[in-house]
Amino acid sequence: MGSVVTYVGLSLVLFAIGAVGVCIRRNAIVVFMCIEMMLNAVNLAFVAFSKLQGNLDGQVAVFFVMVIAAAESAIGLAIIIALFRNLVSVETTDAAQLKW
Amino acid sequence: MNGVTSFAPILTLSLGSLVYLVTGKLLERTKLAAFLAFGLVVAAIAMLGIIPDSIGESEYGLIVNDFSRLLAVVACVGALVSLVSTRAAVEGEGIDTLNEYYFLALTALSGALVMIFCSDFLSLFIGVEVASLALYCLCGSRIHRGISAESSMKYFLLGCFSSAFLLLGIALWYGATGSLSMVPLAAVPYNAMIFLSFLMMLVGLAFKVGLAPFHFWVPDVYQGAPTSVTTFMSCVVKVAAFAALLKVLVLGFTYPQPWSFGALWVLAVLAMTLGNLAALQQRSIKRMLAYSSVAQAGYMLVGIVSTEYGSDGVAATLFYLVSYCAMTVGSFAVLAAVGPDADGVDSIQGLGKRSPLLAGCLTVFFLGLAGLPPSMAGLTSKLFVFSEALSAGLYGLAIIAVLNSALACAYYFRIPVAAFFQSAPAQQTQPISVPLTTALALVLCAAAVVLIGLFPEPLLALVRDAADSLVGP
Repeated sequence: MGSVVTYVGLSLVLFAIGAVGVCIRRNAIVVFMCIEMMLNAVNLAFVAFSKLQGNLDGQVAVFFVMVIAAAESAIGLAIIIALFRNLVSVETTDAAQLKW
Repeated sequence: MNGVTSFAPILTLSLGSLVYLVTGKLLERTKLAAFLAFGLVVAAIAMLGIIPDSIGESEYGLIVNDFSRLLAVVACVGALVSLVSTRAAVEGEGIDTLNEYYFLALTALSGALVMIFCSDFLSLFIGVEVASLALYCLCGSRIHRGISAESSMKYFLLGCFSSAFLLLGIALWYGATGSLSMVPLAAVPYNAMIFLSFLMMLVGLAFKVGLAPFHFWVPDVYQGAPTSVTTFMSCVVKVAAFAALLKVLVLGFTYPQPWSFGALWVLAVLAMTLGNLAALQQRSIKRMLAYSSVAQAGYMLVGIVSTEYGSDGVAATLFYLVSYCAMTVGSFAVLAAVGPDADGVDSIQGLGKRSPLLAGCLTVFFLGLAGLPPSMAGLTSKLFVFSEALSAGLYGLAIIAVLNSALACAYYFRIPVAAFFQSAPAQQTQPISVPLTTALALVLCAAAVVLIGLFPEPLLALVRDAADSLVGP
Protein backbone atom coordinates (compact mmCIF):
# COMPACT_ATOMS: atom_id res chain seq x y z
CA MET A 1 0.00 0.00 0.00
CA GLY A 2 2.77 2.37 0.97
CA SER A 3 4.52 1.89 -2.36
CA VAL A 4 1.28 2.57 -4.29
CA VAL A 5 1.01 5.96 -2.59
CA THR A 6 4.60 6.69 -3.63
CA TYR A 7 3.93 5.86 -7.27
CA VAL A 8 0.69 7.84 -7.39
CA GLY A 9 2.45 10.74 -5.71
CA LEU A 10 5.24 10.58 -8.28
CA SER A 11 2.72 10.48 -11.10
CA LEU A 12 0.90 13.54 -9.75
CA VAL A 13 4.20 15.41 -9.46
CA LEU A 14 5.10 14.51 -13.06
CA PHE A 15 1.62 15.58 -14.19
CA ALA A 16 1.99 18.92 -12.42
CA ILE A 17 5.44 19.51 -13.94
CA GLY A 18 3.99 18.81 -17.38
CA ALA A 19 1.04 21.14 -16.79
CA VAL A 20 3.33 23.94 -15.62
CA GLY A 21 5.51 23.36 -18.68
CA VAL A 22 2.51 23.70 -21.00
CA CYS A 23 1.65 27.00 -19.37
CA ILE A 24 5.09 28.62 -19.37
CA ARG A 25 6.90 27.28 -22.45
CA ARG A 26 6.42 28.99 -25.82
CA ASN A 27 7.92 26.47 -28.25
CA ALA A 28 5.15 24.27 -29.71
CA ILE A 29 7.34 21.17 -29.71
CA VAL A 30 8.34 21.61 -26.07
CA VAL A 31 4.69 22.24 -25.13
CA PHE A 32 3.81 19.03 -26.92
CA MET A 33 6.54 17.14 -25.03
CA CYS A 34 5.07 18.44 -21.78
CA ILE A 35 1.65 17.11 -22.81
CA GLU A 36 3.19 13.71 -23.55
CA MET A 37 4.71 13.79 -20.09
CA MET A 38 1.29 14.44 -18.57
CA LEU A 39 -0.16 11.44 -20.44
CA ASN A 40 2.68 9.20 -19.31
CA ALA A 41 2.30 10.41 -15.74
CA VAL A 42 -1.32 9.24 -15.90
CA ASN A 43 -0.11 5.89 -17.29
CA LEU A 44 2.04 5.46 -14.18
CA ALA A 45 -1.00 6.18 -12.02
CA PHE A 46 -3.05 3.61 -13.96
CA VAL A 47 -0.44 0.91 -13.35
CA ALA A 48 -0.12 1.77 -9.67
CA PHE A 49 -3.91 1.72 -9.21
CA SER A 50 -4.07 -1.56 -11.10
CA LYS A 51 -1.70 -3.07 -8.52
CA LEU A 52 -3.74 -1.53 -5.71
CA GLN A 53 -7.08 -2.80 -7.01
CA GLY A 54 -5.75 -6.21 -7.99
CA ASN A 55 -7.25 -6.26 -11.51
CA LEU A 56 -5.83 -5.68 -14.95
CA ASP A 57 -8.23 -3.01 -16.25
CA GLY A 58 -5.76 -0.24 -15.51
CA GLN A 59 -2.92 -1.95 -17.34
CA VAL A 60 -5.16 -2.50 -20.38
CA ALA A 61 -6.04 1.19 -20.28
CA VAL A 62 -2.33 2.02 -20.44
CA PHE A 63 -2.03 0.22 -23.77
CA PHE A 64 -4.90 2.22 -25.21
CA VAL A 65 -3.40 5.46 -23.93
CA MET A 66 -0.02 4.58 -25.44
CA VAL A 67 -1.57 3.92 -28.85
CA ILE A 68 -3.53 7.16 -28.69
CA ALA A 69 -0.42 9.08 -27.62
CA ALA A 70 1.43 7.65 -30.62
CA ALA A 71 -1.36 8.78 -32.96
CA GLU A 72 -1.30 12.16 -31.25
CA SER A 73 2.43 12.60 -31.88
CA ALA A 74 2.07 11.69 -35.55
CA ILE A 75 -0.69 14.24 -36.04
CA GLY A 76 0.85 16.83 -33.74
CA LEU A 77 4.22 16.85 -35.48
CA ALA A 78 2.47 17.09 -38.86
CA ILE A 79 0.50 20.08 -37.64
CA ILE A 80 3.62 21.74 -36.26
CA ILE A 81 5.37 21.21 -39.63
CA ALA A 82 2.38 22.78 -41.42
CA LEU A 83 2.64 25.72 -39.05
CA PHE A 84 6.37 26.03 -39.68
CA ARG A 85 5.79 26.12 -43.43
CA ASN A 86 3.48 29.09 -42.99
CA LEU A 87 5.29 31.01 -40.27
CA VAL A 88 8.90 29.75 -40.45
CA SER A 89 8.68 29.44 -36.67
CA VAL A 90 7.21 27.07 -34.10
CA GLU A 91 6.97 29.60 -31.30
CA THR A 92 3.39 29.87 -30.06
CA THR A 93 3.87 33.61 -29.58
CA ASP A 94 4.51 34.03 -33.33
CA ALA A 95 1.22 32.32 -34.16
CA ALA A 96 -0.83 35.37 -33.29
CA GLN A 97 -2.92 36.22 -36.34
CA LEU A 98 -6.06 35.09 -34.52
CA LYS A 99 -6.96 37.27 -31.58
CA TRP A 100 -9.80 39.42 -30.31
CA MET B 1 -27.41 -9.85 -25.47
CA ASN B 2 -27.54 -8.12 -28.81
CA GLY B 3 -23.77 -7.98 -29.02
CA VAL B 4 -22.14 -6.35 -31.94
CA THR B 5 -25.31 -4.84 -33.44
CA SER B 6 -24.97 -1.83 -31.16
CA PHE B 7 -21.73 -1.07 -32.98
CA ALA B 8 -23.38 -1.10 -36.41
CA PRO B 9 -23.71 2.69 -36.97
CA ILE B 10 -20.17 3.35 -35.73
CA LEU B 11 -18.74 0.52 -37.83
CA THR B 12 -20.59 1.76 -40.89
CA LEU B 13 -18.95 5.15 -40.58
CA SER B 14 -15.46 4.05 -39.60
CA LEU B 15 -15.16 1.12 -42.02
CA GLY B 16 -16.93 3.08 -44.76
CA SER B 17 -14.46 5.92 -44.36
CA LEU B 18 -11.64 3.49 -45.16
CA VAL B 19 -12.96 3.33 -48.74
CA TYR B 20 -11.52 6.82 -49.23
CA LEU B 21 -8.07 5.68 -48.23
CA VAL B 22 -8.22 2.59 -50.46
CA THR B 23 -9.57 4.15 -53.64
CA GLY B 24 -7.19 7.09 -53.77
CA LYS B 25 -7.89 9.53 -56.57
CA LEU B 26 -10.57 7.39 -58.23
CA LEU B 27 -13.44 8.75 -56.11
CA GLU B 28 -12.27 12.33 -56.50
CA ARG B 29 -12.18 12.13 -60.29
CA THR B 30 -15.66 10.67 -60.53
CA LYS B 31 -17.05 13.37 -58.18
CA LEU B 32 -18.51 10.62 -56.02
CA ALA B 33 -16.50 11.43 -52.88
CA ALA B 34 -19.19 13.65 -51.38
CA PHE B 35 -22.08 11.34 -52.27
CA LEU B 36 -20.38 8.32 -50.69
CA ALA B 37 -20.10 10.31 -47.45
CA PHE B 38 -23.79 11.33 -47.61
CA GLY B 39 -24.75 7.70 -48.23
CA LEU B 40 -22.72 6.42 -45.28
CA VAL B 41 -24.20 8.99 -42.90
CA VAL B 42 -27.73 8.20 -44.10
CA ALA B 43 -27.02 4.48 -43.59
CA ALA B 44 -25.79 5.21 -40.07
CA ILE B 45 -28.96 7.18 -39.31
CA ALA B 46 -31.10 4.30 -40.61
CA MET B 47 -29.20 1.85 -38.41
CA LEU B 48 -29.63 4.08 -35.39
CA GLY B 49 -33.35 3.70 -35.98
CA ILE B 50 -33.33 -0.09 -36.00
CA ILE B 51 -30.67 -1.19 -33.49
CA PRO B 52 -32.32 -2.49 -30.31
CA ASP B 53 -31.77 -0.96 -26.89
CA SER B 54 -29.05 -2.52 -24.78
CA ILE B 55 -30.24 -5.15 -22.34
CA GLY B 56 -28.63 -4.65 -18.98
CA GLU B 57 -26.23 -1.83 -18.37
CA SER B 58 -23.67 -2.02 -21.12
CA GLU B 59 -22.03 -4.12 -23.76
CA TYR B 60 -18.41 -3.69 -24.76
CA GLY B 61 -18.33 -0.28 -23.15
CA LEU B 62 -21.21 1.08 -25.26
CA ILE B 63 -24.84 1.51 -24.28
CA VAL B 64 -27.84 2.04 -26.56
CA ASN B 65 -30.77 3.79 -24.90
CA ASP B 66 -33.15 6.63 -25.68
CA PHE B 67 -30.57 9.20 -24.65
CA SER B 68 -27.71 7.96 -26.80
CA ARG B 69 -30.01 7.19 -29.71
CA LEU B 70 -31.50 10.70 -29.78
CA LEU B 71 -28.17 12.49 -29.54
CA ALA B 72 -26.55 10.16 -32.07
CA VAL B 73 -29.34 10.92 -34.55
CA VAL B 74 -28.93 14.65 -33.89
CA ALA B 75 -25.16 14.44 -34.44
CA CYS B 76 -25.57 12.44 -37.64
CA VAL B 77 -28.31 14.68 -39.06
CA GLY B 78 -26.26 17.75 -38.16
CA ALA B 79 -23.23 16.24 -39.87
CA LEU B 80 -25.31 15.36 -42.93
CA VAL B 81 -26.78 18.86 -43.21
CA SER B 82 -23.37 20.46 -42.80
CA LEU B 83 -21.70 18.16 -45.34
CA VAL B 84 -24.51 18.60 -47.90
CA SER B 85 -24.77 22.35 -47.51
CA THR B 86 -21.01 22.93 -47.72
CA ARG B 87 -20.30 20.46 -50.53
CA ALA B 88 -19.72 23.20 -53.09
CA ALA B 89 -17.99 25.50 -50.59
CA VAL B 90 -15.33 22.92 -49.73
CA GLU B 91 -13.87 23.11 -53.22
CA GLY B 92 -13.97 26.91 -53.21
CA GLU B 93 -11.98 26.91 -49.98
CA GLY B 94 -9.07 25.30 -51.79
CA ILE B 95 -9.28 21.99 -49.95
CA ASP B 96 -8.08 19.94 -52.92
CA THR B 97 -7.80 16.61 -51.13
CA LEU B 98 -11.49 15.74 -50.95
CA ASN B 99 -10.75 12.11 -50.12
CA GLU B 100 -8.96 13.06 -46.95
CA TYR B 101 -11.55 15.68 -46.09
CA TYR B 102 -14.42 13.21 -46.14
CA PHE B 103 -12.35 10.46 -44.52
CA LEU B 104 -11.55 12.77 -41.61
CA ALA B 105 -15.13 14.04 -41.34
CA LEU B 106 -16.55 10.51 -41.15
CA THR B 107 -13.86 9.47 -38.65
CA ALA B 108 -14.67 12.46 -36.48
CA LEU B 109 -18.36 11.56 -36.64
CA SER B 110 -17.67 7.96 -35.64
CA GLY B 111 -15.59 9.19 -32.69
CA ALA B 112 -18.44 11.49 -31.72
CA LEU B 113 -20.84 8.53 -31.79
CA VAL B 114 -18.51 6.56 -29.49
CA MET B 115 -18.60 9.52 -27.06
CA ILE B 116 -22.39 9.53 -27.22
CA PHE B 117 -22.78 5.76 -26.79
CA CYS B 118 -20.05 5.23 -24.19
CA SER B 119 -20.83 3.57 -20.89
CA ASP B 120 -17.23 3.13 -19.88
CA PHE B 121 -14.55 5.72 -19.26
CA LEU B 122 -12.08 4.00 -21.55
CA SER B 123 -14.49 4.13 -24.49
CA LEU B 124 -15.25 7.75 -23.57
CA PHE B 125 -11.56 8.61 -23.82
CA ILE B 126 -11.11 6.71 -27.09
CA GLY B 127 -14.15 8.44 -28.59
CA VAL B 128 -12.91 11.87 -27.50
CA GLU B 129 -9.51 11.23 -29.02
CA VAL B 130 -10.75 9.74 -32.31
CA ALA B 131 -13.06 12.70 -32.83
CA SER B 132 -10.48 15.27 -31.76
CA LEU B 133 -7.55 13.90 -33.74
CA ALA B 134 -9.61 13.93 -36.94
CA LEU B 135 -10.80 17.48 -36.23
CA TYR B 136 -7.29 18.81 -35.52
CA CYS B 137 -6.39 17.76 -39.07
CA LEU B 138 -9.61 19.12 -40.57
CA CYS B 139 -9.00 22.55 -39.02
CA GLY B 140 -5.65 22.72 -40.76
CA SER B 141 -6.96 21.51 -44.11
CA ARG B 142 -6.41 24.85 -45.86
CA ILE B 143 -2.73 24.11 -45.62
CA HIS B 144 -1.52 27.20 -47.43
CA ARG B 145 -3.33 29.60 -45.16
CA GLY B 146 -1.51 30.73 -42.04
CA ILE B 147 -4.63 31.10 -39.92
CA SER B 148 -5.77 27.58 -40.75
CA ALA B 149 -2.45 26.12 -39.57
CA GLU B 150 -2.51 28.38 -36.54
CA SER B 151 -6.01 27.34 -35.51
CA SER B 152 -5.07 23.72 -36.02
CA MET B 153 -2.01 24.08 -33.78
CA LYS B 154 -3.92 25.91 -31.04
CA TYR B 155 -6.75 23.37 -31.14
CA PHE B 156 -4.27 20.52 -31.04
CA LEU B 157 -2.22 21.75 -28.09
CA LEU B 158 -5.18 22.84 -25.99
CA GLY B 159 -7.22 19.78 -26.94
CA CYS B 160 -4.44 17.40 -25.90
CA PHE B 161 -3.89 19.40 -22.72
CA SER B 162 -7.56 19.02 -21.78
CA SER B 163 -7.52 15.32 -22.74
CA ALA B 164 -4.71 14.82 -20.23
CA PHE B 165 -6.92 16.26 -17.48
CA LEU B 166 -9.82 14.04 -18.54
CA LEU B 167 -7.49 11.04 -18.47
CA LEU B 168 -6.18 11.91 -15.00
CA GLY B 169 -9.77 12.09 -13.80
CA ILE B 170 -10.43 8.66 -15.30
CA ALA B 171 -7.32 7.21 -13.61
CA LEU B 172 -8.42 8.58 -10.24
CA TRP B 173 -11.93 7.16 -10.74
CA TYR B 174 -10.33 3.79 -11.48
CA GLY B 175 -8.16 4.11 -8.41
CA ALA B 176 -11.17 4.84 -6.23
CA THR B 177 -13.61 2.24 -7.62
CA GLY B 178 -11.40 -0.41 -9.23
CA SER B 179 -13.40 -0.29 -12.44
CA LEU B 180 -13.48 1.81 -15.58
CA SER B 181 -17.22 1.41 -15.92
CA MET B 182 -19.47 4.43 -15.48
CA VAL B 183 -21.76 2.21 -13.40
CA PRO B 184 -19.73 1.05 -10.41
CA LEU B 185 -20.48 -2.53 -9.35
CA ALA B 186 -20.59 -1.69 -5.67
CA ALA B 187 -21.44 1.70 -4.21
CA VAL B 188 -18.17 3.40 -3.34
CA PRO B 189 -18.33 5.96 -0.56
CA TYR B 190 -17.44 9.55 -1.36
CA ASN B 191 -13.86 10.45 -0.67
CA ALA B 192 -11.21 12.95 -1.68
CA MET B 193 -10.10 10.86 -4.65
CA ILE B 194 -13.60 10.78 -6.14
CA PHE B 195 -13.84 14.53 -5.62
CA LEU B 196 -10.55 15.08 -7.44
CA SER B 197 -11.58 12.65 -10.16
CA PHE B 198 -14.80 14.53 -10.95
CA LEU B 199 -13.01 17.87 -10.76
CA MET B 200 -10.43 16.76 -13.36
CA MET B 201 -13.06 15.21 -15.65
CA LEU B 202 -15.16 18.37 -15.39
CA VAL B 203 -12.18 20.52 -16.36
CA GLY B 204 -11.36 18.25 -19.31
CA LEU B 205 -14.91 18.11 -20.62
CA ALA B 206 -15.58 21.81 -20.01
CA PHE B 207 -12.66 22.42 -22.38
CA LYS B 208 -14.22 20.15 -25.00
CA VAL B 209 -17.66 21.76 -24.66
CA GLY B 210 -16.15 25.24 -24.64
CA LEU B 211 -17.51 26.49 -21.33
CA ALA B 212 -15.97 29.64 -19.85
CA PRO B 213 -13.37 29.88 -18.33
CA PHE B 214 -12.08 27.01 -20.49
CA HIS B 215 -13.26 28.49 -23.79
CA PHE B 216 -10.25 30.40 -25.10
CA TRP B 217 -9.60 27.93 -27.91
CA VAL B 218 -13.15 28.24 -29.31
CA PRO B 219 -12.93 31.63 -31.07
CA ASP B 220 -9.50 30.98 -32.57
CA VAL B 221 -10.47 27.57 -33.89
CA TYR B 222 -13.89 28.61 -35.19
CA GLN B 223 -12.38 31.57 -37.00
CA GLY B 224 -9.21 29.99 -38.34
CA ALA B 225 -10.72 26.71 -39.54
CA PRO B 226 -12.28 26.59 -43.02
CA THR B 227 -15.95 27.59 -42.69
CA SER B 228 -17.14 24.18 -43.90
CA VAL B 229 -15.19 22.53 -41.07
CA THR B 230 -16.53 25.04 -38.55
CA THR B 231 -20.06 24.18 -39.72
CA PHE B 232 -19.38 20.51 -39.12
CA MET B 233 -17.74 20.85 -35.73
CA SER B 234 -20.08 23.49 -34.34
CA CYS B 235 -22.78 20.81 -34.26
CA VAL B 236 -21.07 17.41 -34.02
CA VAL B 237 -18.51 18.34 -31.36
CA LYS B 238 -21.04 20.27 -29.32
CA VAL B 239 -23.52 17.37 -29.21
CA ALA B 240 -20.89 14.72 -28.46
CA ALA B 241 -19.13 16.77 -25.81
CA PHE B 242 -22.43 17.64 -24.15
CA ALA B 243 -23.44 13.97 -24.16
CA ALA B 244 -20.19 13.05 -22.43
CA LEU B 245 -20.48 15.94 -19.98
CA LEU B 246 -24.06 14.95 -19.11
CA LYS B 247 -23.07 11.33 -18.50
CA VAL B 248 -20.23 12.32 -16.20
CA LEU B 249 -22.32 14.93 -14.36
CA VAL B 250 -25.21 12.52 -13.81
CA LEU B 251 -22.74 10.02 -12.37
CA GLY B 252 -21.31 12.81 -10.24
CA PHE B 253 -24.80 13.70 -8.97
CA THR B 254 -24.96 10.26 -7.29
CA TYR B 255 -22.55 11.81 -4.79
CA PRO B 256 -24.60 14.81 -3.72
CA GLN B 257 -22.37 17.49 -2.30
CA PRO B 258 -23.55 20.93 -1.30
CA TRP B 259 -20.96 22.69 -3.46
CA SER B 260 -21.41 20.71 -6.68
CA PHE B 261 -24.46 22.59 -7.98
CA GLY B 262 -22.86 25.81 -6.78
CA ALA B 263 -19.83 25.12 -8.95
CA LEU B 264 -22.04 24.45 -11.99
CA TRP B 265 -24.01 27.62 -11.20
CA VAL B 266 -20.78 29.63 -11.36
CA LEU B 267 -19.73 27.91 -14.60
CA ALA B 268 -23.10 28.67 -16.22
CA VAL B 269 -23.02 32.34 -15.20
CA LEU B 270 -19.40 32.75 -16.36
CA ALA B 271 -20.09 31.09 -19.72
CA MET B 272 -23.20 33.19 -20.42
CA THR B 273 -21.72 36.50 -19.32
CA LEU B 274 -18.18 36.19 -20.66
CA GLY B 275 -19.43 34.71 -23.93
CA ASN B 276 -21.94 37.48 -24.55
CA LEU B 277 -19.64 40.33 -23.48
CA ALA B 278 -16.87 39.07 -25.77
CA ALA B 279 -19.28 38.47 -28.66
CA LEU B 280 -20.49 42.09 -28.44
CA GLN B 281 -17.06 43.37 -29.43
CA GLN B 282 -16.39 41.14 -32.43
CA ARG B 283 -16.07 42.33 -36.01
CA SER B 284 -15.59 38.82 -37.38
CA ILE B 285 -18.88 36.93 -37.70
CA LYS B 286 -17.25 33.54 -37.18
CA ARG B 287 -15.62 34.77 -34.02
CA MET B 288 -18.88 36.29 -32.85
CA LEU B 289 -20.68 32.98 -33.42
CA ALA B 290 -17.88 31.22 -31.52
CA TYR B 291 -18.36 33.43 -28.47
CA SER B 292 -22.09 33.04 -28.87
CA SER B 293 -21.61 29.26 -28.73
CA VAL B 294 -19.86 29.74 -25.38
CA ALA B 295 -22.82 31.76 -24.14
CA GLN B 296 -25.33 29.24 -25.50
CA ALA B 297 -23.46 26.42 -23.73
CA GLY B 298 -24.00 28.48 -20.59
CA TYR B 299 -27.79 28.58 -21.19
CA MET B 300 -27.74 24.80 -21.65
CA LEU B 301 -25.88 24.41 -18.37
CA VAL B 302 -28.70 26.35 -16.67
CA GLY B 303 -30.95 23.36 -17.42
CA ILE B 304 -28.43 20.97 -15.89
CA VAL B 305 -28.09 23.07 -12.74
CA SER B 306 -31.87 22.77 -12.35
CA THR B 307 -31.75 18.94 -12.40
CA GLU B 308 -31.39 18.77 -8.65
CA TYR B 309 -35.15 18.20 -8.63
CA GLY B 310 -35.55 15.58 -11.36
CA SER B 311 -34.91 14.85 -15.00
CA ASP B 312 -36.92 17.75 -16.48
CA GLY B 313 -33.89 20.03 -16.35
CA VAL B 314 -31.91 17.59 -18.49
CA ALA B 315 -34.85 17.38 -20.90
CA ALA B 316 -34.83 21.18 -21.26
CA THR B 317 -31.08 21.11 -21.86
CA LEU B 318 -31.45 18.45 -24.56
CA PHE B 319 -34.25 20.42 -26.23
CA TYR B 320 -32.02 23.48 -26.25
CA LEU B 321 -29.10 21.47 -27.61
CA VAL B 322 -31.15 20.12 -30.54
CA SER B 323 -32.54 23.49 -31.56
CA TYR B 324 -29.16 25.17 -31.08
CA CYS B 325 -27.59 22.64 -33.44
CA ALA B 326 -30.07 23.46 -36.20
CA MET B 327 -29.40 27.20 -35.79
CA THR B 328 -25.63 27.07 -35.60
CA VAL B 329 -25.21 24.65 -38.51
CA GLY B 330 -27.43 26.93 -40.57
CA SER B 331 -25.56 30.13 -39.66
CA PHE B 332 -22.14 28.75 -40.53
CA ALA B 333 -23.45 27.04 -43.68
CA VAL B 334 -24.78 30.39 -44.95
CA LEU B 335 -21.37 31.96 -44.33
CA ALA B 336 -19.70 29.09 -46.19
CA ALA B 337 -22.09 29.62 -49.11
CA VAL B 338 -21.33 33.36 -49.25
CA GLY B 339 -17.67 32.69 -49.90
CA PRO B 340 -14.54 30.98 -48.62
CA ASP B 341 -13.29 34.11 -46.90
CA ALA B 342 -16.63 35.55 -45.78
CA ASP B 343 -15.93 36.49 -42.19
CA GLY B 344 -16.15 40.23 -41.50
CA VAL B 345 -19.52 41.98 -41.27
CA ASP B 346 -18.71 43.75 -44.55
CA SER B 347 -18.79 40.43 -46.40
CA ILE B 348 -22.54 40.04 -45.83
CA GLN B 349 -23.52 43.70 -46.33
CA GLY B 350 -26.10 43.83 -49.08
CA LEU B 351 -26.61 40.08 -48.99
CA GLY B 352 -30.36 40.66 -49.28
CA LYS B 353 -29.82 41.88 -52.86
CA ARG B 354 -27.09 39.44 -53.80
CA SER B 355 -28.97 36.37 -52.65
CA PRO B 356 -32.37 36.79 -50.96
CA LEU B 357 -32.41 33.08 -50.11
CA LEU B 358 -29.16 33.19 -48.13
CA ALA B 359 -30.10 36.45 -46.44
CA GLY B 360 -33.53 35.09 -45.48
CA CYS B 361 -32.08 31.89 -44.02
CA LEU B 362 -29.40 33.86 -42.19
CA THR B 363 -32.09 36.04 -40.62
CA VAL B 364 -34.07 33.01 -39.47
CA PHE B 365 -31.00 31.47 -37.84
CA PHE B 366 -29.79 34.64 -36.15
CA LEU B 367 -33.23 35.53 -34.81
CA GLY B 368 -33.38 31.97 -33.51
CA LEU B 369 -30.04 32.36 -31.73
CA ALA B 370 -31.30 35.60 -30.24
CA GLY B 371 -34.50 33.83 -29.16
CA LEU B 372 -36.98 35.94 -31.09
CA PRO B 373 -39.96 35.09 -33.33
CA PRO B 374 -40.51 33.94 -36.03
CA SER B 375 -37.63 31.50 -35.40
CA MET B 376 -39.53 29.92 -32.57
CA ALA B 377 -37.00 27.18 -31.71
CA GLY B 378 -34.71 29.63 -29.92
CA LEU B 379 -37.54 31.24 -27.99
CA THR B 380 -39.21 27.98 -26.99
CA SER B 381 -36.00 26.33 -25.83
CA LYS B 382 -35.02 29.42 -23.85
CA LEU B 383 -38.45 29.40 -22.20
CA PHE B 384 -38.10 25.72 -21.26
CA VAL B 385 -34.66 26.19 -19.74
CA PHE B 386 -35.52 29.37 -17.85
CA SER B 387 -38.78 27.97 -16.50
CA GLU B 388 -36.85 24.92 -15.23
CA ALA B 389 -34.52 27.27 -13.40
CA LEU B 390 -37.51 29.12 -11.92
CA SER B 391 -39.28 25.95 -10.81
CA ALA B 392 -36.04 24.80 -9.17
CA GLY B 393 -36.06 28.04 -7.22
CA LEU B 394 -32.93 29.40 -8.90
CA TYR B 395 -34.29 32.92 -9.30
CA GLY B 396 -30.86 34.57 -9.43
CA LEU B 397 -29.69 32.27 -12.20
CA ALA B 398 -32.90 32.77 -14.21
CA ILE B 399 -32.61 36.55 -13.96
CA ILE B 400 -28.96 36.50 -15.07
CA ALA B 401 -29.88 34.24 -17.99
CA VAL B 402 -32.74 36.50 -19.12
CA LEU B 403 -30.55 39.62 -18.87
CA ASN B 404 -27.90 37.84 -20.89
CA SER B 405 -30.31 36.90 -23.66
CA ALA B 406 -31.48 40.51 -23.85
CA LEU B 407 -27.85 41.65 -24.09
CA ALA B 408 -27.17 39.07 -26.81
CA CYS B 409 -29.87 40.54 -29.07
CA ALA B 410 -27.59 43.55 -29.59
CA TYR B 411 -25.00 41.59 -31.54
CA TYR B 412 -27.31 39.07 -33.19
CA PHE B 413 -29.37 41.91 -34.71
CA ARG B 414 -26.36 43.50 -36.40
CA ILE B 415 -26.11 40.66 -38.90
CA PRO B 416 -29.63 40.67 -40.44
CA VAL B 417 -29.51 44.48 -40.41
CA ALA B 418 -26.24 44.43 -42.33
CA ALA B 419 -27.65 41.89 -44.77
CA PHE B 420 -30.82 43.81 -45.60
CA PHE B 421 -30.33 47.48 -44.81
CA GLN B 422 -26.70 48.16 -45.68
CA SER B 423 -25.38 48.28 -49.21
CA ALA B 424 -22.63 45.99 -50.40
CA PRO B 425 -19.08 47.31 -50.82
CA ALA B 426 -18.41 48.25 -54.45
CA GLN B 427 -16.30 45.22 -55.35
CA GLN B 428 -18.85 42.63 -54.26
CA THR B 429 -22.27 43.40 -55.71
CA GLN B 430 -22.63 40.47 -58.11
CA PRO B 431 -25.36 37.95 -57.19
CA ILE B 432 -24.30 34.73 -55.47
CA SER B 433 -25.40 31.52 -57.16
CA VAL B 434 -26.41 28.96 -54.56
CA PRO B 435 -26.16 25.29 -55.58
CA LEU B 436 -29.42 23.37 -55.38
CA THR B 437 -28.24 20.96 -52.66
CA THR B 438 -27.06 23.84 -50.48
CA ALA B 439 -30.33 25.71 -50.94
CA LEU B 440 -32.33 22.61 -50.09
CA ALA B 441 -30.30 21.86 -46.95
CA LEU B 442 -30.52 25.47 -45.77
CA VAL B 443 -34.27 25.74 -46.36
CA LEU B 444 -34.91 22.46 -44.52
CA CYS B 445 -32.73 23.65 -41.67
CA ALA B 446 -34.56 26.98 -41.47
CA ALA B 447 -37.89 25.18 -41.59
CA ALA B 448 -36.74 22.96 -38.71
CA VAL B 449 -35.81 26.03 -36.68
CA VAL B 450 -39.28 27.50 -37.13
CA LEU B 451 -41.25 24.26 -36.74
CA ILE B 452 -39.43 22.88 -33.67
CA GLY B 453 -40.56 25.98 -31.83
CA LEU B 454 -44.12 26.10 -33.17
CA PHE B 455 -44.80 22.40 -32.55
CA PRO B 456 -42.51 21.42 -29.68
CA GLU B 457 -44.53 18.41 -28.46
CA PRO B 458 -42.96 15.63 -30.59
CA LEU B 459 -39.41 16.69 -29.79
CA LEU B 460 -40.36 17.33 -26.19
CA ALA B 461 -41.62 13.74 -25.85
CA LEU B 462 -38.35 12.47 -27.31
CA VAL B 463 -36.12 14.54 -25.03
CA ARG B 464 -38.18 13.56 -21.97
CA ASP B 465 -37.67 9.86 -22.75
CA ALA B 466 -33.99 10.54 -23.35
CA ALA B 467 -33.60 12.41 -20.06
CA ASP B 468 -35.45 9.64 -18.21
CA SER B 469 -33.16 6.99 -19.66
CA LEU B 470 -30.15 9.01 -18.54
CA VAL B 471 -31.21 10.16 -15.09
CA GLY B 472 -33.91 7.63 -14.25
CA PRO B 473 -37.53 8.80 -14.09
